[in-house]
Amino acid sequence: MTRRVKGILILALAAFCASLAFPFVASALDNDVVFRGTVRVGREVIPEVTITVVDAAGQEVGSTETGEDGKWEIPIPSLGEFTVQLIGPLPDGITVKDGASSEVTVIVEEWRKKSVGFQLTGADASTILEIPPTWERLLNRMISGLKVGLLVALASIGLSLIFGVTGLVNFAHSEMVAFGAVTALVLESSMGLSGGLFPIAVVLAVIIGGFLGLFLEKGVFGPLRRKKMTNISLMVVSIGLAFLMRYLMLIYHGAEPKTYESFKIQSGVSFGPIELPPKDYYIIAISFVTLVTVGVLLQRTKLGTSMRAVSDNPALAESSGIDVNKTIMWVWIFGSTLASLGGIMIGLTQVVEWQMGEKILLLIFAAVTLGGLGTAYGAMVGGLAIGLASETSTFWLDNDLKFLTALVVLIVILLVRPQGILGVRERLG
Amino acid sequence: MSGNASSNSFEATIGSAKPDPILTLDDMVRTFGGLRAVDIDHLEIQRGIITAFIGPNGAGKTTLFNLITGFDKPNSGSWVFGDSSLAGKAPHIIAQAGMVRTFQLTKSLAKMTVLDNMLLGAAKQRGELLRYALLPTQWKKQESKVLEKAEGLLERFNLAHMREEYAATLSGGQRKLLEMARALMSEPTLILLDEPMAGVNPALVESLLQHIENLRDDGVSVLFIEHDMDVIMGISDWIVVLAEGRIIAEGTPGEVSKNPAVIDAYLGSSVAEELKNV
Amino acid sequence: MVLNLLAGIDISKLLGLALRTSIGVQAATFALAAVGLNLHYGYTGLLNFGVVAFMAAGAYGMAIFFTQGWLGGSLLLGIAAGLVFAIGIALSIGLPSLRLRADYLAITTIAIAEVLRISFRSQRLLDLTGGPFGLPSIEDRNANVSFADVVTIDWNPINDGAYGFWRLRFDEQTLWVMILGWTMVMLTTLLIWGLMRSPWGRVIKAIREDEDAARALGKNVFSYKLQSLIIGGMIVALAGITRSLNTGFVETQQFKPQTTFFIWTVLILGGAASVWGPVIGAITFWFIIVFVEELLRQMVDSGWIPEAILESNDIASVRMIMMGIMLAVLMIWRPQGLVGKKEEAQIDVR
Repeated sequence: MTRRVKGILILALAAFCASLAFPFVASALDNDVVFRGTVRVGREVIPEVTITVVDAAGQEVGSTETGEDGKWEIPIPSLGEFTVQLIGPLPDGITVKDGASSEVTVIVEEWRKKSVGFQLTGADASTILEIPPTWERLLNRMISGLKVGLLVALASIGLSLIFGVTGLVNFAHSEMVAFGAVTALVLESSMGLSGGLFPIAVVLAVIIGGFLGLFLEKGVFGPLRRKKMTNISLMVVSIGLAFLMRYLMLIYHGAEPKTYESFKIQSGVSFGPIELPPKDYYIIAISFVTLVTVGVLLQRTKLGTSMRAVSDNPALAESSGIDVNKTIMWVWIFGSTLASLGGIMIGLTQVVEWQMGEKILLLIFAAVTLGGLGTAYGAMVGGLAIGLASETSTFWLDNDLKFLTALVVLIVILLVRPQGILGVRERLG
Repeated sequence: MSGNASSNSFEATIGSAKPDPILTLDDMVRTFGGLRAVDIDHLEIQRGIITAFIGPNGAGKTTLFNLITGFDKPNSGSWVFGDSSLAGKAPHIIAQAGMVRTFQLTKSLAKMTVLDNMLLGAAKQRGELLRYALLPTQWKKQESKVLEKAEGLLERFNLAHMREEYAATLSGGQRKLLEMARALMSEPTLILLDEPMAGVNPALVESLLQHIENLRDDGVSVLFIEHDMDVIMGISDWIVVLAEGRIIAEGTPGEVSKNPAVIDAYLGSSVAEELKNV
Repeated sequence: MVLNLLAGIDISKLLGLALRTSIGVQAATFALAAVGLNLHYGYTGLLNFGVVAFMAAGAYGMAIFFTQGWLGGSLLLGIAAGLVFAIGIALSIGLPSLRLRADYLAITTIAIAEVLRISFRSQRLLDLTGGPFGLPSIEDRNANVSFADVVTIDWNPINDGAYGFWRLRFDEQTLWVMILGWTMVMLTTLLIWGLMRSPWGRVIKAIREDEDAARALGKNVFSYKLQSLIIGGMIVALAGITRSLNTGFVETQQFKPQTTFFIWTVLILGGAASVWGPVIGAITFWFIIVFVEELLRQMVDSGWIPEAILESNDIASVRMIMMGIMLAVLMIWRPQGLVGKKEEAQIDVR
């Protein structure tokens, strides 16, 4: 194909993607019922106020912060009774009106959007309300993007590494992520590992996740590889496996979303201009440290060297004395461990539910392809880029656009540079 | 060798003009990273003879084949086949123009029968157009002609008894034969054979060589890549020697084997040893 | 002993339900979609994971055209619009992405299908697509007004009544849609049969196995792939249309990625790259699914399976689990499915 034709094709494609993305600037995403509202006093809107929705049993079903325009939206998973809570923080001088409540109970009987309002009052809202400067708000968005990015990176590395050493695009990877989150929740609630003991639940869940990886390699994909099945066939097998795992989780974990007992809603803690709930500091710190450790391990250890060697050229690695099958086994263990940890962290920021895997699958694919399939650093860079892009996009665009942004990035990168940012160009079909 | 005598009439210098070139290359450059895999100023391939590309591994022979046939894109360069420029043309357009190639790793279609492989090779089939596909009356007549031609070629290449077998059941040598026969279905004017003898049972080599010579005698120009020196010396009318992407010599087998540049380039290598023994 | 084991199990109901579903409209739509996918994947080797995108295009194209009352709101024109929409989707997917490697194409198509689904349920398109509520509008649906009426009532030549025997009795509306559905399955199967025995089909099969070989023989691989994508896509769109004419409405819930993999399971079960594979696959698939589901339901109800293992609420999930297991097991032990040729079944696309 000549360069000219290619250019036209890419333009046409970009136009196609843009035309698809355009109508969704303010669309509802993927839930049937959505609560929404605007937090304001008079004409002054109040950004960065946390709103939480709990169900009749007191379980949190969703939490969000109001945007720059004071607007918020929380999707609801089912019909029933819910309570919308205004958590705060409200600016000084602004309070809930006397006689009004910071909680509103809504009974949902039909599938539609619900407006929820709170009655606020303030002496003189316009003087009291200090909307933080733009750079500060952008900074907070970026911190949030960093958090999401780190989580996606953590969840994606395994997929990328497994592709690197075996060539398999594992559709069940996101189910390993969900499995980690669910396991930690089950350990927390059934073994009483909550509160200060929660880290034990995390460690155990991560170890169990590692065993799942070991099982998938030794019990499923290893033997099939030796059966000379092609990677495309194995990809289809992994899709079957993903459905099996996802719906087993539905049956035995239940349909309703749950949250970790140990980390109920927390109010924000300021750190200079940055304001986050304390758990977010932990999440960012743990993810960051884990990613750095992974990077060091890949560079410095013998296993890391073997992994990279097998990724580059399995035959050559084999002939230079590397035990390829053992390396692949360790990559599976390593990758599923990280996936579990990523799943738990995602569960901490959002909810734990059986559909987690399905929801994050394409986000992980976007991260991994953006960075370049097969490289751990690619997954890290791609994850961070996807997180930052989708979160900061809410600075200009509607919240709902996040997922679509990631999808469009995924499609465009596959079409324009399928080897990713860090990937090496190879022969493409 | 009947061809050798006639080809002596042109000069054995790099880029020399041929009386009736079928393919002319100019300024072909292909780089991989910093490496210049192919770097050719000018080359003419004479019509109606067997021309061989030789050179050590990494000399750029297969890359050059890929460039000429459109499977790879040069960084710069132009090439003219017959009267038409092929630069920037897609592989299928180049094949339709009458320049058909085979591959080093044979691409016989293993999940199709030998006969279907052959039928696929024919050019300009009406039945291959979607608008006629469902109207057998539109293509049945042509199909039977194609079938006749395929059976003739299978006969000639000793594959007739395998016609209903899946190509997967053929031996390595038979696959090479099938690929060559299939390429001939489109009646090319120039056929490019990428290591036709590689991996072929030695017992079959002789008959393969005979087939290549027959091609020339039928008026098809042949361009092929080969490692085996004995083979090249035996059947080539003209040899182009490549090293590190550049042409270092061209000439008749006799001239090339005495060429000091060739001997220099190959000094110490097994190729040089073999060249000296010729 | 045997009788004892079967206590509480109503075999007649079990077989009746399973048979009924396996020849029903649902099976026909799945067969139709699988016929289209068979051209994509079975014959051309295109790893299309965006099957639902074509189904959605057909169904929504038809439904929007009809409910908007464009050009008089003729259903036939609506169906044509759905097919044209499917061609548009095929071009949008195909033009940029057909040059991609198989696994990249798979991810691209699944992503494009999701983009399409999310767009259809967007608030911005509420007036056109009905957003999350689908088409026709809630009011129309409550009043039992649907585009399906045109087919099931206006076009229906069958007299009112119930037809059939035993547990296989169908009312005139269901029977009529069944006849239409299976007729389309037969016609499209015939179409594929005709195409694949032509020289065109020979090129398509060659491309499945080795694109470069086809290119070297002068075949315009890209053009053939696009033709395959369009024809198969239109057949899949017909399946989407048939399904909405049966259910009477379209909703984005019907076009989640899992539907794509249902169709894949049907195709691989029957046998990819075989003319009758999709039909046999659809019939067998629905028989197995309904049989097992009903068996489990009866076993749970009669106490054979303790609640700790499975509750009757969970049986709907079992369908998805069975689909997953079938897909994996078939790929591993019987990639050629029930009637495919083993020689042609192994996938080794790049």
